[in-house]
Amino acid sequence: MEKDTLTLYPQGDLDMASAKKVKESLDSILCSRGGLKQLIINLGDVHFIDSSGLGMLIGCYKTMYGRQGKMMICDASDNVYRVLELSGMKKLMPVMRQESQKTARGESYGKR
Amino acid sequence: MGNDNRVELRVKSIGENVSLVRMMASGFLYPYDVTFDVLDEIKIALSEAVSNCMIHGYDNAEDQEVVVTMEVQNRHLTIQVQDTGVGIVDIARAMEPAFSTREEHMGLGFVFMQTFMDHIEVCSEPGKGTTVIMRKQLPAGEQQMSDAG
Repeated sequence: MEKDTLTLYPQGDLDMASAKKVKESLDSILCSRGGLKQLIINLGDVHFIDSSGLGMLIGCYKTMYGRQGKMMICDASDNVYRVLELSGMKKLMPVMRQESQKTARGESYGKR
Repeated sequence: MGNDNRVELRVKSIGENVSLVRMMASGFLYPYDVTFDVLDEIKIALSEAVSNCMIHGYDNAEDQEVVVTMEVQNRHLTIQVQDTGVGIVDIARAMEPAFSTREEHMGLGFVFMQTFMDHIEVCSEPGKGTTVIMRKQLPAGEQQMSDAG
């Protein structure tokens, strides 16, 4: 059962540059793990995502869907979760947010 | 509180520079006492606009230039992102949700820009390039609100 499931932990920002690199690594992993039935992407250490990052996640979803596998996203911070929600990702796969936030989102960022 | 300010950044059209532009936005907005939520919204919109220039405007060519201008006047933020790439033939269609000329993209770039900014304007001419202008009123910071009593 364990071998059927793979959890990945991307880090940093998922944008145009990083999403391309993560996708290349993921494609290689997915290619070598033909028997993989469930892919879990843990976004706990991803602080920013834009549509390029979303495109990468959708690419993974298509690969897993193509092999009758499942995919889920977990540990998304509030700001990342908001983008995932807006994109409609939740209609395709389970998306879970971080239980406790490392940063209070309503807090002021700038100079006082 | 932050005085009125303006900054212009010209970056080579390589993907790594998208995060550099976001960092510039963080630094530029620091004096304006915005919340992390507002900062995130602006960074997402900016990231989409700059990525669009590189991916679509320049077809991923890395020897071109994207010009980003940010200006704040009376807490009204204006961001202009400009390329001299292929341009957009049908702007209205390009701005439709889920429309993309590329299979691997979700067509959400303009959706995010429209969602996270107050106003967006797109000027484009095929063969000459595209300019995106985004505006957002920065909410009053906590310090300003306490000053007002």
